[in-house]
Amino acid sequence: MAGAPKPEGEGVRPSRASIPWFLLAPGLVWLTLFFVIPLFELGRTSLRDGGLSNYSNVFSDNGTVIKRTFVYALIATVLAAAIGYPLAYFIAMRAGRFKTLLLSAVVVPFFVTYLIRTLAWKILLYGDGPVAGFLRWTKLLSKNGEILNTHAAVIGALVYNFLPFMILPIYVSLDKIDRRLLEAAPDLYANGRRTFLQVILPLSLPGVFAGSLLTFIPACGDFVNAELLGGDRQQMIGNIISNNFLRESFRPQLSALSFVLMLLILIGVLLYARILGTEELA
Amino acid sequence: MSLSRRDFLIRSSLFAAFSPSVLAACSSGSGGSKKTVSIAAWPAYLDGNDNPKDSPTVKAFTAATGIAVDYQIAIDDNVAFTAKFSGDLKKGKAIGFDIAQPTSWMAANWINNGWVEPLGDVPNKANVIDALAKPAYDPDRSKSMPYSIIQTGIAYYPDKTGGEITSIKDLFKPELKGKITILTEMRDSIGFMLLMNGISPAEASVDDMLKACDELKKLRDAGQFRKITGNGYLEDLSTGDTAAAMSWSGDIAGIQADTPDLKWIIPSEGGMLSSDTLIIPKGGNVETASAWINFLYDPKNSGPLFEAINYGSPVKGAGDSMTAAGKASSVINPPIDAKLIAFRDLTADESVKVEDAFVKATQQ
Repeated sequence: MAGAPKPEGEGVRPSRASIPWFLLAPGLVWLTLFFVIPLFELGRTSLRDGGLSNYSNVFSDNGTVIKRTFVYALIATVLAAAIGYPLAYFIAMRAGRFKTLLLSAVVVPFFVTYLIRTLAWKILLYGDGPVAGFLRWTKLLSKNGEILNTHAAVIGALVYNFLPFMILPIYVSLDKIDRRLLEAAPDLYANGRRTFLQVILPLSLPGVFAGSLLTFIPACGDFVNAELLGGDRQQMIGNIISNNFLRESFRPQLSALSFVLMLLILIGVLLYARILGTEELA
Repeated sequence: MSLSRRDFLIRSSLFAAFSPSVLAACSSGSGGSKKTVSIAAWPAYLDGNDNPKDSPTVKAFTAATGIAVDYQIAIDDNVAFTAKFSGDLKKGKAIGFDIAQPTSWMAANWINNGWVEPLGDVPNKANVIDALAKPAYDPDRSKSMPYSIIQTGIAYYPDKTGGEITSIKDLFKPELKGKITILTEMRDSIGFMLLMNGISPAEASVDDMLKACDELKKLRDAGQFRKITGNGYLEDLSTGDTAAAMSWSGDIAGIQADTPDLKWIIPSEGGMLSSDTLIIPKGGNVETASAWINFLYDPKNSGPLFEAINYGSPVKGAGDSMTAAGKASSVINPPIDAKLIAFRDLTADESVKVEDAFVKATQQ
């Protein structure tokens, strides 16, 4: 066949150019049906009734909640990275034959559903529960103080629930670092600290980036943690949407709110990518 | 322990697509050789812990009429339940249920929209208590009957509130900042604000209600409310984390056995009265549905059922078929007097206006 002139429309084999489309088709159909069309519908709904004023009202009506949501998600992401990185580092670099065991220790608790895990936290944190009791005993918590219905409870639960999504990508990027680079660094007179800062950390940034996105984006949209562990002053955007979307008259405003949420997340992610310079790292 | 509406809400939000009501909607509600009545119910509303197989009421009904009961806990929220079926109802399609039990104000919406079948033969209809016999939305009770009586009052722990609570004013005093919960049900929370201001929720104007929303917002901004919830208030109240809660009678009766210190009152300014209401959704089986309603309106059947679920029975003489303890309970046998007031019917426009202001005041 090689070198022979290719007759037009030979056989039933798809042309070379069409193969990617065949491969993409299932994904495209899926995305169109379950993402593009609903998104278009949401956009149309967001312009119903009040029109563009639905958008301009988003911040005046929900300013506090929007700010709170992003602050929660940001703190949760930073904490998850601060907790997840050392752990991922230990598993990738130092765990030796315990690697698999430790990795499963990270993942296995998450075989239990999200809701049950969060409800379990509620039981642990309530007023007469073990955690509050211990904190009162150590005088860290006042006699009438409580843990439930505080910012700390909601942020803590967000960190807990999204931690594996931070640990696993960081672990993968650390694990695939060529070990010869780590041997070369001391040969070139780098001490441990410099090796970490100039070799390991930059090479693991794609993992941190992926982990941050996998934590930050779902945390922004989460409502379960705030619903179960938070009070009136811990409500997030997700709570407002989930509580009211079925009220016909609220749907346009809430659709606009959803779009604004998406836009803010997108801007945040682009900025983050720019700062980390992940395009070059990937 | 019975399942709270809130537990159900959480489950159904996760498994909405597979919920029994959706599956039920796929099959036809009636027909076939064996007669069936298909019921869409709130949680914690049937004896035998909501399980029709264990329910003495269901067993007795089937034995008496030969009609099988398909009992599904399909309502966790008035708005959500209605939204799920409004598309079909607008097209005049059956929704797979022969009986639904939305709260009276939502039942009024269904009736106004023409989404219900008129009741069939219900000879026991005359047993309905006078207070609920002639509502504005259905003056001759030809399309609906009350299922239950719900009182909204205050539950509190005297040791945690620093003394007795007798009024709505007490509930909103600064000493209880951050320790109390109120309800996401607009008619209850705004009703309380109106009562506190000396305005009857049965006659309040929309302006009164909007003003009440503003006042509620001020209290909220000052940090008065620990949480503003639906049935979720029960969890924190039963663990003692909440000192006092605007609450529903049956819920409190349900947890009082485990929380002996918890007290329940109708505030001195008055409490709210509402009722979940039996209707036959369009396309439902009028014959079997009417038989079910008629069975419930026999005081001999109503008494034990309502003693088991801890809500008030709307059937005259139901107390005579209760034990002495049930008969004596003011929660199960509420004294329907001037202190319990039902929120007035709102037109669709009024409802949107007030709900909108209420959601803004309590959530955003």
